[in-house]
Amino acid sequence: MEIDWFDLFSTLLQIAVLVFAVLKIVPQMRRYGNSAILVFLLYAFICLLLSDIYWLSLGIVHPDKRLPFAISDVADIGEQLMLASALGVIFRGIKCRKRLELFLSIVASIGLIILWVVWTEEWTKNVLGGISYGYLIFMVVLAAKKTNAFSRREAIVVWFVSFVCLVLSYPLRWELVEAHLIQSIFFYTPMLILTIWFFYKSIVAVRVILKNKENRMENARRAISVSASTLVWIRCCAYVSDGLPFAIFDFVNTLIIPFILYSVLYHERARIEEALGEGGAAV
Amino acid sequence: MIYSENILVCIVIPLLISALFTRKGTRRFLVALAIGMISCLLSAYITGFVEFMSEFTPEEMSAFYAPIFEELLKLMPLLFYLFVFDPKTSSLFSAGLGIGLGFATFENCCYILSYGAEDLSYVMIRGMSVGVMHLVCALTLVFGLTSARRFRVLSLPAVIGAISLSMVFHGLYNMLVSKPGLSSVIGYAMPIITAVAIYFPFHSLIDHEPGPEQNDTDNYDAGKKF
Repeated sequence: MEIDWFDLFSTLLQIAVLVFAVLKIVPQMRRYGNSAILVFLLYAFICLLLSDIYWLSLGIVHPDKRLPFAISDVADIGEQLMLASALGVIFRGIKCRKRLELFLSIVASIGLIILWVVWTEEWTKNVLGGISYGYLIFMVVLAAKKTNAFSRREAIVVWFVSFVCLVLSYPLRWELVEAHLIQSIFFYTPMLILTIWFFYKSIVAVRVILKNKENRMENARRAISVSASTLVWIRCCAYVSDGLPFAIFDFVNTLIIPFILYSVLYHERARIEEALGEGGAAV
Repeated sequence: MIYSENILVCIVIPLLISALFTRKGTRRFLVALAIGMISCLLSAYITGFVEFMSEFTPEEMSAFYAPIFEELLKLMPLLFYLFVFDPKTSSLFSAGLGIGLGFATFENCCYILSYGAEDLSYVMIRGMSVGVMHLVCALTLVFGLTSARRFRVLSLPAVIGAISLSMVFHGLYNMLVSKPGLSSVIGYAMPIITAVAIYFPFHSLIDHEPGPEQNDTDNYDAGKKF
């Protein structure tokens, strides 16, 4: 059996990060009481954790088994839906128009589903995974719009690069062109630049919560939407790439988990403080 | 070959008759137990049908795909109870546990009748692992559903998210025990360890989980704990 050491290291690191995240959430649930956001986040992280453990165990127990639709795929779908549900709870009070966001999310997810189906020739996994991923994209875009996490220009650039990369990935996957290396450079460079930019934005958003004691709730919401956008972007990049670029995006995917965790925990703390403040004022 | 329908009739009839002579909470649990057993039989039918239609062997089907159908069949009566009767959280918990327990009991009965019960140690391990595994899956499902309902966010994505967690736990167990050796030892130990791990942090939350009638605002009741 050939072992992909970088892939193994990346999975083990993700397991360690997720165990830490779960151990961090459970005491918060005991301390602040059960809240929908924490329950959904906990479920999402456990789904991802069990998916990783399943994937590792399957490789050890049944190394020769190649499943068209494995239970770990069900867990990935569950994780995306739970994350989207958590975002839905956090941003449900804020109203905004959502037609354009809905349209763009549907187009992006249909494009990805077609790409994956053509690439892997597996229908069930890709269609179900694509629908849940599309729902997550929609919730993340909506969250970003509600918190004004990105300027109009930034949003246009991200959507433009996303669709250009998505369109470019078709000929790359089907290997229709001779100049594979040059096209790969054109394909992966904007993705990597945007990934670094997203990561930088996440760091800045979390730093703002730590530094600024005022408007903690708003800052936490913005940090959640930025880090969730980063997660969705990195996954989109990972899903349309393979080899070393895939390993890099998978690694960054692990790194963004603590950002989501801490911004949600700060949001919960701010919510409790706000509730106590209101209660105190009433007394 | 065993006649599982006959076994089901034999076990369920006394349960249903005894339910007539019991009070509300006990009756609910007995009916849930019987429904869990019926769900087990139906899931076996569906798994058998899919196995017949696909290229998988019975062992592969049981290790990789049976959890999907089993957990779905456990979810259906629970969702029906939740949406039609809108029960209190404690009632939903006892119904969920009853369904999980009924499912595990019927599966164990059929297994023991098929393969014999001479080896007491193996029967005990099976009881501790499969029985507790179904219980943990049901608990996971009910906890997700009740939390979502309590905060009025019970949506299709939340339900699918909760069911997928119980599916992956069940699937991981089935896959680990599908081959003898260290993996099966880990698989057998996994449910009981998980049950203990979730009991200590969550039993207080489960005990004090209010029903929908106690839910008043979006600010939850977290402030009351201070």
